[in-house]
Amino acid sequence: MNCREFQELISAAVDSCLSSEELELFLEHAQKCPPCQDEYDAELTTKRIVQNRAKMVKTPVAVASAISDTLRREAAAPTRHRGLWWQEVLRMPFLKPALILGAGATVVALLLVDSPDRPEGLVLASAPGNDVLLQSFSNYLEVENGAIQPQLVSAEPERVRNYFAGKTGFPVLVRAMRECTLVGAVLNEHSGAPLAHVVYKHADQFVYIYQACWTTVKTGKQLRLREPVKSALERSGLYTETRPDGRTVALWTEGETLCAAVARLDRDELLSCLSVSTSSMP
Amino acid sequence: MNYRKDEKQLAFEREAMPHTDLLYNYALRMTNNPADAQDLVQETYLKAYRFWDKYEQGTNIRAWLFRILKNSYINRYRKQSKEPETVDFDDVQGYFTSVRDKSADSGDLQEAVFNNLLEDDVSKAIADLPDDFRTVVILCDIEGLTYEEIADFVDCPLGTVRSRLHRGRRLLRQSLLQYARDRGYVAKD
Repeated sequence: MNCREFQELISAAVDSCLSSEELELFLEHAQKCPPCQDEYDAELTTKRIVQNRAKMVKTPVAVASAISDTLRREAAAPTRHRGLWWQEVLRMPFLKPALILGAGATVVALLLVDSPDRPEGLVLASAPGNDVLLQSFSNYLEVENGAIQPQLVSAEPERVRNYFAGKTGFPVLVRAMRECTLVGAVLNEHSGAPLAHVVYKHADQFVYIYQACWTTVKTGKQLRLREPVKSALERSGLYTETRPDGRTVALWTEGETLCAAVARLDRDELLSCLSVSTSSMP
Repeated sequence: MNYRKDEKQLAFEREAMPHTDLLYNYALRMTNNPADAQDLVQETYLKAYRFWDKYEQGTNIRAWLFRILKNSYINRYRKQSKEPETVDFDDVQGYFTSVRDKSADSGDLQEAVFNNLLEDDVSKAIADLPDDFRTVVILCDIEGLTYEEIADFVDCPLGTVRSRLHRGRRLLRQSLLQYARDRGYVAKD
């Protein structure tokens, strides 16, 4: 056995999975080659350190129960694959050209989808308590994985605005955004506070905008923001935060409306998408 | 395979749910963030449940779940993963020759030095490994899987598992040595 062959067997030797023939040759080489012996010792030490210092943890109870909740909701849902709902909408052959052509093709772009069979268990924005920031981050994942389905599917801002009209108690902002296609909308409530959710597509990513009544959030009962976020928002009119997995949220207010836009984009990309027609944003 | 809904739930709970620790620990080490690990594991179970019909009964359920998790991880983090996935063997070869000269004389003493390192240092060193190497180190040294199972999980030959482990541990040692130097446990260059 030469040094190169020895190197290739070190990990298997450390994990005691050499055959008896391999082990014999391995030991023979180690005995006459101190650098290789040292290297074997070093790898053994490294493994021991990892085993001693990076131990397995038990799955936290909160995680286990979140998984169970997700599965319970899924099991209670209609059997149709809801998972790819938003994507399915974009794949509809009669809708896709309309989305690409924009306003010129709106005649065929309008499709109203009611969700009469939406189960009670599918409540938006419940897991992260009443914190708007956490709700928006968490809802984004549910949009991605299909747990949140569109109630209205339309590429037409006017149509989406009409859908929300008179139902929210605050003006819902539905705008054309740079390099984004409007996909659809969901209306619901959290602890009695109405919420509007508008979803756009930007390349292969979703841009999701959560909207709530700013006064309700400032009051901090049904919905709230952590104090530093709220004061940053009141001070500069904009708050952004990026999660390690690449989800960025941008919060801003316009009159009575608080918006939280979430996407897997960096801060500048997201703000660039939002900048069209959002003149009051800094 | 076609299931009635309640049968599907029961089968899924019986087969898939006992493996949350395996998936959560891997997700935690890959994301370094409990909230992200939770998201990833939750997404994995949702997808697994939806595609339960596609799971071939009798095959390794852990490997099937792991691959779903790995794909979800790649989809989420591909934007950020700008690090190279492979490391040139020769790059680390030279380094280790020098480590042999500079560090302590015996394996036991080295271990004593490294034992002073904090759990955080070891976690950070693992986190810094390129994904392919980190994966095998997590599966082997933290989760205690066999080489055969790791090969099944990551869908590669046994020889690749061996070499990734060897190279991964070398890189890990390089980082640990740096932490030990920074903390003054080992003489600086």
